[in-house]
Amino acid sequence: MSDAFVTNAPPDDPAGRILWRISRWCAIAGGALMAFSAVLTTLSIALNALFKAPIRGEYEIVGFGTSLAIYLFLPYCQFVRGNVVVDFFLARASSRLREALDAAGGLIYFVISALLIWRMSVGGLELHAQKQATAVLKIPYWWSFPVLLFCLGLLAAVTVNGIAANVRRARS
Amino acid sequence: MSPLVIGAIGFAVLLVMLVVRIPIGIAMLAVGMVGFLTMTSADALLNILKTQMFYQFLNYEMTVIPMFMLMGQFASKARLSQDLFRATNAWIGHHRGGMAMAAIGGCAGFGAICGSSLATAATMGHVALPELRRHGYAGSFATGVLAAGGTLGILSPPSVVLIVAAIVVEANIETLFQAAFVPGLIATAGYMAAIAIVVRVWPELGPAGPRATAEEKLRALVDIWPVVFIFLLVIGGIYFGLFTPTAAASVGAVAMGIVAVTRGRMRLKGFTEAILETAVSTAMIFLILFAANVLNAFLGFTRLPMALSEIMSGSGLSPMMILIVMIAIFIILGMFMDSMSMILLFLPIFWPILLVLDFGMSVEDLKIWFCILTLMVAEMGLITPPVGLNVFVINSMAGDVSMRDSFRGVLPFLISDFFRVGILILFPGITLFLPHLLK
Repeated sequence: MSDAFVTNAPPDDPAGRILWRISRWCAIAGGALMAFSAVLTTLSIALNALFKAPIRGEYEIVGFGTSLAIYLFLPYCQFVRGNVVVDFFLARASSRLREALDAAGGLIYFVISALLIWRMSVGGLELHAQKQATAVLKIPYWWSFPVLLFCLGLLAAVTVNGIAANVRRARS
Repeated sequence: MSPLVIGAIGFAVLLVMLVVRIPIGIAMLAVGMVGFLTMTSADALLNILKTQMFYQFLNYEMTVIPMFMLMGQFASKARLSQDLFRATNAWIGHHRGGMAMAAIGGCAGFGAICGSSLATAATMGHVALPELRRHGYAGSFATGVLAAGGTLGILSPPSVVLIVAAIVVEANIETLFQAAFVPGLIATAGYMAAIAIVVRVWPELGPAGPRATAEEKLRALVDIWPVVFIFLLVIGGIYFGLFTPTAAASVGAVAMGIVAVTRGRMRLKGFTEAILETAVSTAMIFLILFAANVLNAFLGFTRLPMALSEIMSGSGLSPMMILIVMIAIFIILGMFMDSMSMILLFLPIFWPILLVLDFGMSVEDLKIWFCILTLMVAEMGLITPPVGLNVFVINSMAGDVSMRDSFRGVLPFLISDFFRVGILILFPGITLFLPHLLK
């Protein structure tokens, strides 16, 4: 949660730079979605207070927007290594060992994201077939899935890139 | 293998993974998934993965977390910490140790509009640390004051950690925010008392600052109107049931964004930075929230939490004793772990144990009381050695103060923390008074 996350310079390798740029833009898009949701909620409250006419199904849009924002945040968080670790017991271990363990963590995360991509594609298709939608605005649930699967795919690519970087640094 | 043994092994594996630097959320997910599969079947695991994450993130109630994060980031960009410190300093800075007290007051004020300790410590540190040093405050004392002051960020509502605790024990967020108010005030008063005692014993640590004129005092007070306004709007709105927490957080984020922009302190670059900071902390928290869900589903199947609860309630230890042991465990864990993960890992195990014990109060009251106690000790973890994150942040800002000195500077405030926790354990009424009044 320090400024280091933001000023983090793009990596040296070409693939990493592209991934960095995409994840950063995704995070910004997610933030824009959140800002939009916040404004929508405020507007709805104001309209309700003034004219007793809140925006219909506003909380469904906000729920949708914010949930997508979280997926959009995931790849960037992994890229800047924003997922907290207990960094005490191995704080003085060799950098080689630390890189190796970080690579192991990245590998586990890759497997989990791959598993989620597979299962959530199935889940999305099922929700599509069942025509599941929100109660008021009838927003189909499956609408989220293209974005969400893209984000998980990007996350998987970011973990692979991270492992490659760990290996490179451990060797040098 | 009995389910209990599987549960215990799973938990042990998890702890080992944490020690070897596997990110907490990822380790919890991995153990949760493998454990779930062992307890049920591969099909059952593959089945819940289809939509579990989707529905959990879609939940409107959860929106409150990123919204408060965004609001806090906007507050940092709006540099309200600067106005707050100037105001408190104008009023009390001329007393001995007064500037340090002003920094604590500023932190409490900033904490009332920001739900994160690290953000409070960092933003207040930027403003107050150079001032304190310029006026002859000792490095150890100045860094200690600001690191401890930062913890007021989560002690006073809104508090992201408190929201997470509320989600775990299924408590009402509004009620918990009400309950945190008086303990937050006590914390502020306790820190000020600690400063008063320190400068009485060692006057050279915190000399008196210059006296402000009446006009300066008034002007500084006028400058902090956005803080007062937004606090009343957001927290007042929640306390008196005008808004749901999610709506209040959204309104707060919008209002704070407007303040930051109209004061000319946030442009496109600042906005992008605020968003990226929010993105990282939000993604981190939600990964852990999702992981905790999967892990707890697994642990639930093993009946490990229930077994522990039976052992504890049959142990002959008094309920109070068990509570104190839990608090002690939290304090020790907090030395190594970040508070959010600690709460998500251990609160689901501790809570069922407490639930069956008789504390002479209703379950709702017990929830409130224990969540506030948990919050208090989780906050202590930010300033206890060896890994006190707030101390790290402020210490790196100072540059010329050793880590050892900073931790020494924090000591009076830690003592104050221990006193406060003791008082809140002995007198639950302090915590429960406001929620009962506002009910």
